[in-house]
Amino acid sequence: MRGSAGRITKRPTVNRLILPVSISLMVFFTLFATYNLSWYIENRFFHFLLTDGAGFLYGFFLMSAPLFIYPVLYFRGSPPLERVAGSLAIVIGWYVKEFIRISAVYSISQSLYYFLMPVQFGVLFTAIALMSIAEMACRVGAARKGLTDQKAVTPLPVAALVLSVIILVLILNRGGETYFFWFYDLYKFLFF
Amino acid sequence: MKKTAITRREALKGAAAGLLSLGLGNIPLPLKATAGKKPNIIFILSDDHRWDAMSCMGHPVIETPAMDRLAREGMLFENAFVTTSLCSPSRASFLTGQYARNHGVKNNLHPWDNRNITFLELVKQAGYTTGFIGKWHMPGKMPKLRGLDRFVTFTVSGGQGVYFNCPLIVDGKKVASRKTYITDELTDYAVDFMTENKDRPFCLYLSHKAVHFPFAPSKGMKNLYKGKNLRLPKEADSWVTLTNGNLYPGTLQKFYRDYLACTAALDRSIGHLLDKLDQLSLADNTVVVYAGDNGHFFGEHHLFDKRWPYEEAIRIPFIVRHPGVIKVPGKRAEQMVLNIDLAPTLLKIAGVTVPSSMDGRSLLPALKNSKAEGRKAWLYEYFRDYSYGIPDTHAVRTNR
Repeated sequence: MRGSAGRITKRPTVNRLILPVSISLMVFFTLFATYNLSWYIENRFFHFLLTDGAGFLYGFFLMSAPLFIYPVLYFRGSPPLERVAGSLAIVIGWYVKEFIRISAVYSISQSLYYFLMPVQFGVLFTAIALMSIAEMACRVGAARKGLTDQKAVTPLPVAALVLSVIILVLILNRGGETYFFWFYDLYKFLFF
Repeated sequence: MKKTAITRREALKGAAAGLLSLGLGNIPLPLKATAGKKPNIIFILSDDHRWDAMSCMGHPVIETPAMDRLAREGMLFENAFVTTSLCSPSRASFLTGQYARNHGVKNNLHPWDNRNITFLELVKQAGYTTGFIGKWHMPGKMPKLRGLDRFVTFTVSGGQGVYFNCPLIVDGKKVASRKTYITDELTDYAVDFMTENKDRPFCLYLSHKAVHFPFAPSKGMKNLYKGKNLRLPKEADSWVTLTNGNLYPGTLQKFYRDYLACTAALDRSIGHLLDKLDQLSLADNTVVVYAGDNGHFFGEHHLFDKRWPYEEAIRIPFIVRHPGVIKVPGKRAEQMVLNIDLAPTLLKIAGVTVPSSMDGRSLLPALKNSKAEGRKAWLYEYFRDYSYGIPDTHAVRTNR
């Protein structure tokens, strides 16, 4: 059986998709739980070791997960849409966690709008940028192993990368303030 | 002759107290009140300055000689609070003497109502030349403030302004910045205003951008506290500060160092202003009030920012220098005072009747007698804002 990546063997769904994504989500939420529960440790050394360590890894994993997940899915024969969906699992998991938290205070529509916040929106486009890079890097690796004849650089991943970088630059412009006030003005226009 | 806030008897009492203080060690001689002239008023408002980030409050790292000088020559209120620990509502409360529920600026979303009456409008009617210089930052369009002779503000970054090269709006016209750093820029406008109006009573509202996030110290002060280990609270988390595990850029130590460096720059600018008052021979007849619009968390309760009704967010620095009226300069008052007390206090000082619509009360009795009875409790209110996820809050702070 061959996947869309060319001569790469397409493994069964559990092995190809469910297992790697589940493990990633488990690691992510374990880091989240570790960070939050470490406050109960009274020994200050271990308390900060766990808090700082888990907090840092949690943020790092959130921002960089596609770099790890995408190649695994690629070389297990996942088709493109599956690779994208699997790589976004961490971001989506974080969005769900945030939605639960924020919807305790705001309406459903306002809680959804919340995901246009600089960090929340930026995480999505960081993931898209990283997926584009991972796709091209995987093609190079697969070509070296003789698993694909596909060119490394093609219009779709390049366009996705360029678009993501442009949006991220817009979000980060002037320390994120410009974008934040656009976000805030639109909020007032829509909801207030 | 118009009624003045300082009587000859009070002035004599002040002088006598000063002479007495010569025999009491380090208690300084009070500034002399100038009888018969309306006192000038300068209100300096900072942004997010914690009550304890001053050397006169025993902070272990920062040095604030100008704020210390104000406290030494005036009265420091050790238990000063804001009724809403958020910029826009608190600023509106300082101006109107009202709770947020009454002036209407409930959070950073509800616009300023041009029908609101400010103390600047009322002192103008009493013959003062008035100036508003600095951060307005209230929702809605540019306000139509009545009774203002000079209005210098900024609208960039949603009204927050920027620390460097901030474009200004001077009496309705866009003007490029004259000085690079916003704190120095606003202070220069304040000094110009004082100089231009030194021969007539003036009331100046100087509202700084400092020391609001993003804490950006001036170039010369960037490394002022480099390497200093700030003792953060034991629950402080250096990596994850804002909310429930969301990463926030930078570490808490760096934020706090930069915050203190911005505060030191602010203090320097206050020192410059006080020196200018001396040079213009106005100090004896000028009431100077310094306050912050709310506090700030640096890791306490696992929090950053403000808004929550904890001491770090609701408590503010509040110092009044009122030559002649404060009998023993350097005295500290323990009464609970609020941001809504500013407007009635300044109106009383200016000899203006305080409107019944104001919720605050004059601090003149406390200034005259540091043992004067204070309030026993007060209401804190916070109206849900977007997108911080903090619910509506009503709390009562008692005189514990």
